[in-house]
Amino acid sequence: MTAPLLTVTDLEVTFKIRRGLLRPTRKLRAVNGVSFHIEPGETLAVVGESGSGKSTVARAVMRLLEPSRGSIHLDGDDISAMKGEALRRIRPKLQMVFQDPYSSLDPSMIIADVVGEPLTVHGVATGAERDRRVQDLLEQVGLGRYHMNRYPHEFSGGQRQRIAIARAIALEPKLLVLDEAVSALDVSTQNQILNLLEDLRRELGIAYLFISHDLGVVEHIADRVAVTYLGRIVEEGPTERVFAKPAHPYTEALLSAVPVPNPRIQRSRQRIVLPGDVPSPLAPPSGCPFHTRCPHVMDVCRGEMPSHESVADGGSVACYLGRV
Amino acid sequence: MSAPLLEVEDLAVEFLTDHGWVRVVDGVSFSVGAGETLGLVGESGSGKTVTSLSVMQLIPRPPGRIAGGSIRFEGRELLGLSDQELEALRGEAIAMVFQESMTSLNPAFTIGDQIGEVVRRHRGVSRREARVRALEVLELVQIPDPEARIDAYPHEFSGGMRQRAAIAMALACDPKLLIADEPTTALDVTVQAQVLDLLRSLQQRLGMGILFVTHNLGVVADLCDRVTVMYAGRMVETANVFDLFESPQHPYTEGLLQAMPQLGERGKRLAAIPGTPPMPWQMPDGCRFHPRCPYAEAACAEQDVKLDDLGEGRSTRCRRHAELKLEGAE
Repeated sequence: MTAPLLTVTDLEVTFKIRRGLLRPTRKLRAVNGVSFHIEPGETLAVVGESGSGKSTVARAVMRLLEPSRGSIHLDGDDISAMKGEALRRIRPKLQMVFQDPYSSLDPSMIIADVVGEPLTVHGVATGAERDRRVQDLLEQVGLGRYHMNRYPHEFSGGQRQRIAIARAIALEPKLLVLDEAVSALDVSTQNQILNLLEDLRRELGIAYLFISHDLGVVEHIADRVAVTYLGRIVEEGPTERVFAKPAHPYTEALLSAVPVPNPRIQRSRQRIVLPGDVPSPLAPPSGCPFHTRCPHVMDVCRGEMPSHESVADGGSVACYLGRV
Repeated sequence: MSAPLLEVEDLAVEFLTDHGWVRVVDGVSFSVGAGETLGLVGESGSGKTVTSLSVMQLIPRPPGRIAGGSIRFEGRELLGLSDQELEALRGEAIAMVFQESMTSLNPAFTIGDQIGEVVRRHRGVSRREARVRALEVLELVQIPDPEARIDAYPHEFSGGMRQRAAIAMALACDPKLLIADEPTTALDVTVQAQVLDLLRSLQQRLGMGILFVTHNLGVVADLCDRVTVMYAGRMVETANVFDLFESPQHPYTEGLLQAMPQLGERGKRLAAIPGTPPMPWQMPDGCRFHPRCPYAEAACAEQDVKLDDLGEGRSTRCRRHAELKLEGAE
């Protein structure tokens, strides 16, 4: 078996929060003991609600943030502590697409420069050669050469996301990190982009780290899913298994909260409505972070965070249910 | 049968743009009965929010204007009422909840003061009585420990709690009609489930009518009794929720349903409606959906399509609906 493309081990990211000039700083642990891996050409979705740390995981993998603990191996290199020139050299392998295509593109640049900039910066192509490459890239994402001299504001949200994707794949990355990349789009446009991502994966063999809160989208696009809650992965596994037989009570509640677009099914199915809100990451509960809302909570859950153990039909879960 | 709570008839709304006066809502008609939830569904730019804001005449004027039609609440015409008469209705008989509860609550006042102000303004009661009412409605929307929370500021609440507080404020004067514009869109799904449950149980207890504006067909399937689908400023289909999902009568509705990723098979391409909606100053001739419609024929581009009444509260704006067999949600 080949080595994974990306291996994240025991990742921890903390932020310092100062709540007033003279008050002491507090530590917010946004990501805690997170481990996962992605094979070449594979799509791993990290799902979770606000405050789950899923976007922080994406930013740490992109090395837009410095992890406070743990390692991130990309293609054999530990990038968790890389800086400067070394980090710049691995950048072509690792690219990102953000949620908001209105703020992620420089409004003062024409599309040829938006998409061609990575090629220039990394010395891949210049001049006419660069323009030829940009034209190919635009065609690959369903746009044309006649778009090259236009500005971002002349494009719709879906078209802008295509431009952001063209820029991200310009250096032929091995891993593309997509942080809520289709969340701001209307359904019909969203599906056009998801189909484009599927095509690119097939043609170019890119692996995706797909960060999303939308379980419908994730079920469709991901090979594997990691479910996060308050900075921890509580369950991970092949998409079909996780959606059909969720092993963690949080996953079960999350899936049951997504309304099914069919009134007969939606109104007759059993739903689990969780009480309360996600606790503040500044004061996370002891033990399993989900124990304050869990319908199956036991005494042991308040003590230690349960370890990950494997689940029949693939993946792993961090839950004491069925163990004690 | 008594008259519906809200009747909107042939509503037209225009905005002044670089392209002149542009009609963004055109010929929209619907009604909401007491105890009923009507879903107003569409993608961005379909005119659903402008329609809902027009009911309370909250569109900015200028650049907007209501160019025609009629909006009747309990039989009384709202268009042409004075600002003072409208003020008396807003927050009293007709209340609104928006997507961004952080922007609809004032950050400088406590939750209790803001709810209390609505009550004092419309009911003319004392501060103390208003506070009692604020406490009641906070309890009604299941804010935990309301005695302690009533003196909190909006920023001290989580997103879900703020939306509950906004709903509490809307309910403070026992409105007959609640207009809710994407009230769960900014919320996490587990919190969305709580808020939908809350709206359902409140409606059962209070019997209010709800106009629910959303782009999310899952939420529609969960909550709405009837649905009006909008596209490019026009209504394209109205039906009861079960009929709409089972046998849509407009190709756009079919397209929206088929585009739900949950309904797509893994590994297969997702259904997508090709292209993008038209800009309001470049509306295509004929059926406005024809450039994106898989069933369009030459005639669809030529003649204007009227809304066709199919009986039993169903209508569609498609000239081919009788011959097409459109697919619903399975």
